[in-house]
Amino acid sequence: MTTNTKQVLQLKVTLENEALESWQGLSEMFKGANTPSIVRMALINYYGQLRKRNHTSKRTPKENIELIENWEATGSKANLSRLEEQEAMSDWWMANKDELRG
Amino acid sequence: MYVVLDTSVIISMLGSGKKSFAYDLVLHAQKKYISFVANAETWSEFEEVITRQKFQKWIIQKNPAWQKVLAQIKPLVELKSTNQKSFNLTHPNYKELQKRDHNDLKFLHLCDQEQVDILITQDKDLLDLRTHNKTKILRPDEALFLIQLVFEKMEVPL
Repeated sequence: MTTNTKQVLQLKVTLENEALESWQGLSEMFKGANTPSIVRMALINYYGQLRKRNHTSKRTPKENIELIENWEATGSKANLSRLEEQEAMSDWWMANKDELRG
Repeated sequence: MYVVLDTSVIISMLGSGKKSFAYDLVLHAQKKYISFVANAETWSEFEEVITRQKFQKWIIQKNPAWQKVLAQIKPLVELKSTNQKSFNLTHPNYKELQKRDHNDLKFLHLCDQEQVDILITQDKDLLDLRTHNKTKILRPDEALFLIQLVFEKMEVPL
């Protein structure tokens, strides 16, 4: 593993910790930064997953509003469709993997 | 960054064409942000699956041009040799997966062997483990978020 890769992984851990602690902090990080919608969508999704997985707390009403606004602002219908397809694919795999792998 | 794609994700790349989160991972591998690693065991599972009649029926409806996508993926996969000695079979994840689906154990072996950063999967038995030693176990969209955030927004040089 190169030094740069180690730095990258360290950054990743830092970002994940921030995501756990503060939705606002991450929102600020992307404010005015011309963030691609896919990143914003993934941020929202990943943040939700982290909270769900870690059972730390539920979203506040304000966070829910922000979430919806972000989804609308970033035109994420296409991404929602991709998430739905991903979920459908996952279900198909789980239903058929034993047969597919023989 | 070393990444393992399990069979479910490669199948997803083939079936969804350029629309899926999974396919976006191919684009990141082409940019050298990430490297796909596999070994004979994991890759042969994928090769067997694509010969199955069930897959053939499914893929023809999903994406008749799937072979073109496969031709893009293949050169990006680095095949590693298998080293049985590096597996810590007492790890709780091995025990859990042994109960749930022992066929998935080979992916944990590969992660241990190559010190893989992310195992990307759509298999719920693997996703439920969340992490394995230093490897994060993520869905394609989750992995994509981390990769894009680190390599594109943070502008960290490779």
